[in-house]
Amino acid sequence: MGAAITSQLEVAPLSVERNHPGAVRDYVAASAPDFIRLRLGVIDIEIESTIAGLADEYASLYHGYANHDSDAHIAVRVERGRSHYTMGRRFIVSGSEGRMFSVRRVEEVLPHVEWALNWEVVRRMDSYLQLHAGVMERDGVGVVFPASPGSGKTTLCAGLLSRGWRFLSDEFALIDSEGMIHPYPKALCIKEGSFEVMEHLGLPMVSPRRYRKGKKGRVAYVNPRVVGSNGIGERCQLRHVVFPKFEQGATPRIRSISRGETGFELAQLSFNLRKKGNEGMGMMMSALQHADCHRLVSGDIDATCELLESSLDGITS
Amino acid sequence: MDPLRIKTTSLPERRTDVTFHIIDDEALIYDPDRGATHRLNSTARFIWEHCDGTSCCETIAREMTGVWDTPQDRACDDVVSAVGEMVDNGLLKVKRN
Repeated sequence: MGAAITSQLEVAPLSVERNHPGAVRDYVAASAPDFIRLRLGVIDIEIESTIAGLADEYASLYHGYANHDSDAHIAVRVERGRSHYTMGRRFIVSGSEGRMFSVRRVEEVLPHVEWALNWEVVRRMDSYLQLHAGVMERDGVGVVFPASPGSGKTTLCAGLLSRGWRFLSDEFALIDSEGMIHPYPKALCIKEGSFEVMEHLGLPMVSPRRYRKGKKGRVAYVNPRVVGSNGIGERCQLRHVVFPKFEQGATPRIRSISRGETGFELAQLSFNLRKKGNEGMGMMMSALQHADCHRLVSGDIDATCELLESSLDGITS
Repeated sequence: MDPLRIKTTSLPERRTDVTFHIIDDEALIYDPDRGATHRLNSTARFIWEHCDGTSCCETIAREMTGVWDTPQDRACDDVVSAVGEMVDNGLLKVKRN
C-alpha cells in the first residue's frame, strides 16, 4: 500500500581506475577559463571550463541557446585535477557543493557535465516539483512521459520531435504551483542502441564524437533545435500522462489508468517530492486535475508515435 | 500485521499531519515524515474518512453496509484488516483496544 520515495536519478559509479598516462589527450588545459552561458528553457546555466575544446563542443551541442542577459540559476565547473584515490590525472566536474565527478577519459567529460547539470537542477530549482519524465507538446497540449532510465522515453521524445511535436525535456518535468509544466530542453542523450533510430527519424547527432556515460555506454547527442526554432515548446498545461515502457518487437498498445494510480507512481518518480513535502503533493494534484492518464507499451517508433497521435485527445496527427 | 491486534471495538484515528488528496474515487495520502505516498481505493478511502477517533471499527463497518452491498461481518473483517494495514503504515493510531 505504501511506498518509500527514492530518487530516480542515476548514480555515477565510483571511479577508482588506475591512471593510464596518455589517456587524456584530446582536451588540453586552457590558459584562461571559458564561460559557457546558456538558456535552457526556464533555467539559465553556466559552465566554467579550463578545458580547451569543451566550449566549442557546447557551442555546437546547444547552438541557438546562448544567454547574454542574466545570471545563471545553476553553475558547473570543469578542470583538470587528480583522483582522490589514485592521484591519477582526471577531469574534475564540480557543482555548488563541490566535486561531483572525476573521470579519466576525454569522451566521458561532456556526458558528466550534462549529468552534473541535472543534479544541480535537482538541488537548486526547488520552486518546481520535478519529475523524472520526458515532456512534449503539440497543439498546446502538454504530454508527460514519466519513466525510470531505460524505458525508452528519450527515443520516444525524439520520434515525436521528428513528427512536429515540440520538445520541453527528455529528463525533467518541471511543474509549478499552478500545475503548469515548463521547458528544460537539454540535448537528447542517445544510447548506441538507438543511433540507427535517429538516422531513420532524420535527426542528426551533433558531433561525430561519441561519448561514454556510465552504465549507458556509448552515447551521442541530438540538439532539439535541429528541426528548427519551433521545435522547443513553451509553458503549457499538462493534459496527458503516459507511462512508456519499451518492449523490443512489441505491437504498440495504450490503455487508460486511473489518476490515483498515476499520482502514486509519479510520487515515486519525483526527484524532490521529499524535499517539498505537502506543498509538492499539492502541486502534483493540481497538475493531474485536468490530465488523462495512460500506460503505453512502445515498440517500433513510427507505429508508437502514430498510436499516440490517434489515441490522445486534443492531439492532431 | 497481527490481525488480532485490531478489534471491532478499536477506535482508529487519522493522523492530522499527513495530507489527504481525493482523486476521482480514490485518494492519495502523503506522509512527510516518512516521505511516503499511499494510495487508497474507494473502500479504503471510505474507511480512512471515518477514522475520526470516536467511531469504532464495527460502527465504520455498519456505515459501509449502507454504501456497499456487503454483509456486516464481511464489512467488519474489511475494516479491521484495512485499519491494521493503515496502522502498520503509520497513517492511523488506535485510541482504545
